[in-house]
Amino acid sequence: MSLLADCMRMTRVFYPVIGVACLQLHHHVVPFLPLDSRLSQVYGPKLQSSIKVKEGRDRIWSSCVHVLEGHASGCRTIVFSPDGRRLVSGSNDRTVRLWSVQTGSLLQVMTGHSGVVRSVACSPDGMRIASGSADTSVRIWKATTGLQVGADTYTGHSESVLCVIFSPDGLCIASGDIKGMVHLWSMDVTRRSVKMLRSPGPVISLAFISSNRLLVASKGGSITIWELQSASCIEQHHLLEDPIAFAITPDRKLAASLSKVTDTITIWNGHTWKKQKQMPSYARDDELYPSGGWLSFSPNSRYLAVGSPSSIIVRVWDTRTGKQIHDAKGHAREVEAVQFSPDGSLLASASLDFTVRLWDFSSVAELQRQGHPTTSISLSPLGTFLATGFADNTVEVWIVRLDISSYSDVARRQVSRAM
Amino acid sequence: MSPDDKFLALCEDLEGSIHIFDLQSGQLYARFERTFGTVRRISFRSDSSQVVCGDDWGLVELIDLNSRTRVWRSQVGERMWFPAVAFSPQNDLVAWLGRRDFGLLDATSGKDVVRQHIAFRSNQLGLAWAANATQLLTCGWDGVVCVWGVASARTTHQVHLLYQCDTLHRSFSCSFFDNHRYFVTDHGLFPIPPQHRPSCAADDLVPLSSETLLRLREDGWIWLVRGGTGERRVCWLPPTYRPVVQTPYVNFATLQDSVRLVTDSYRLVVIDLKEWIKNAYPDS
Repeated sequence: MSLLADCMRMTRVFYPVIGVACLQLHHHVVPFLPLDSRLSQVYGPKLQSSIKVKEGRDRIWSSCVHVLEGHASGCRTIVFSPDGRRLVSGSNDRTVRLWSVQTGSLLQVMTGHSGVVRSVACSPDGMRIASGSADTSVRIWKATTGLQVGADTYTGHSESVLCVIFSPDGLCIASGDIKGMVHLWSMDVTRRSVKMLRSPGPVISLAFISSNRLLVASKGGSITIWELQSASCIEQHHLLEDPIAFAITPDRKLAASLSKVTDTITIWNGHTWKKQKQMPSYARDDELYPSGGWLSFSPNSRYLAVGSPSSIIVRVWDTRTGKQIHDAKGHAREVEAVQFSPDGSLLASASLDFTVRLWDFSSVAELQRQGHPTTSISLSPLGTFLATGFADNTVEVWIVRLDISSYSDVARRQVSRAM
Repeated sequence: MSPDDKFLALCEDLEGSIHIFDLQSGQLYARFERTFGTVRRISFRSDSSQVVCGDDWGLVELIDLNSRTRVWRSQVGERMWFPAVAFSPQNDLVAWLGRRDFGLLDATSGKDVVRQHIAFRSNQLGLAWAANATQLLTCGWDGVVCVWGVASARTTHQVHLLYQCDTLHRSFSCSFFDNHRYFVTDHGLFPIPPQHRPSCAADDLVPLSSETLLRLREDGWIWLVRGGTGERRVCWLPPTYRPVVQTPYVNFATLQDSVRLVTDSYRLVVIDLKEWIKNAYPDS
């Protein structure tokens, strides 16, 4: 079974290379297989490669399975398609992009917004994509072609659109803006009906909790549930922590909010609104714009992923124990959105480093790496020395011999002492 | 590191000092206090007697290593951007590259010789001199590489755009290659039209260089490029083996037959490609 699991993992991680050189797996894949994987132990000794990872080889499968690169600026928002096979991302570069989750390849680029794309949503049948932007518009795109559906741009908002969501039947869209206005509008352009709901603050999250009920969470802590037929408010609650991010499970058992004021993530009972658990958020005191994207529950509500605002680390918490069970490190800049895939097997994170990363925690038991992390590397002009800098303020200087396999460590200079 | 492999220059993060270490002894040779700006780029003079630094306050300063003194400091760029800096081959000029402009400073006085706006959308990152100092290469995030004529800059206070090439791939660094008949970026080799090459460029009758270079491209593939004769795909790096996306120029180094890099999780990776290259090019 472990061999089979390794094969599945290998297929996912090495898909780009398997696609172009499937007969050279011994050459392109085996040298990079984690040392402790069953696959490497079984086939490594048998399949010799002319490529050798002499130092820094992974011991176990990394949690990061894909890095989706292509956006020309920071990524703000992500959503999986309902079947989990595709991922939609929205960016500061004003584009919406559609990616293959299996291969990590870019499928479509959707251009048309004149402002930052703040929110994206996928229709229940996965055929249409909605995007809300700082240009105050909401646009609908065909997932198969990347083209806009007719000239279907909804321009009813007067301010930046922060949230957009399809109704469960896919016939209408709810969109919320930074002024606190929620517009509920039909997809039918010719007979468009629009309902407007007012929220006391910027809308940080929208969720259909049934086909006729919409939950609106706004910055300031107001949680309002609207009955849509009559456009009447049927429940209102107030969270004290002034949240900047909010998420709720589809069954409404749990909700989570992230507060910059208290620097905490709070898990609530979604019916009684009593506090269940509280964890640190690791949010710094920067000026943060409100967003629902920083929090995502796994489909079984067991886990909560948090893209700590102002942090490059994605954290996964166990909602029952309140303990952190994973942290995903790899983004070079702040994480702006996280989302679990519909089957819970993957976690996606979008970052200001222009990338979206896909994480698989199924076989992860991150080992504490030996020594301190390396921060930079430089080769001297004549090729005599190679210097590597470490986070503990030390620099290692290596003599580089003609035969690079016999390089030797000549000195580990304790720069920190001199500094 | 200095051109003669004698010194190693290190800069502390966050308004830190510059430390010059003697590579032979490992001892601190000189230390220069700074009160603001983080030094991001350093260039040694060809005789290793001076060093020029660019910091994220847009300041360029020249330090003399013999006298261990700061010679001059010039404000060249805008704040929050670290200018690339490079001594000219004759050491009489210092070229700097800001976010969307570049210029030349007199290496003795630090005074402006010329300043030129670069009319592209994206940030400029790489800078390189031709061996005879008549041309400069600049490259940026948008993948456009420019060849600038700077031969008459001292007298006319002007530079001329001679040639620009959209490589379609973002570039953190660039330099002339194969006797100035090509330029090379992080992606690979690109020919320079004969009429735009510097006068020191080799004639087309001179055989192509057989020098090989390893390049890590944005899609994770390592390519081996060889003077004018094409390129070969070597291997693909899984995401966990890739260098930090934002700053690969300080996290990726290639020797003739190996690659060393620092990954996103700050792990040092050494990949030995000697056997692969030997198989691919038995003659080399």
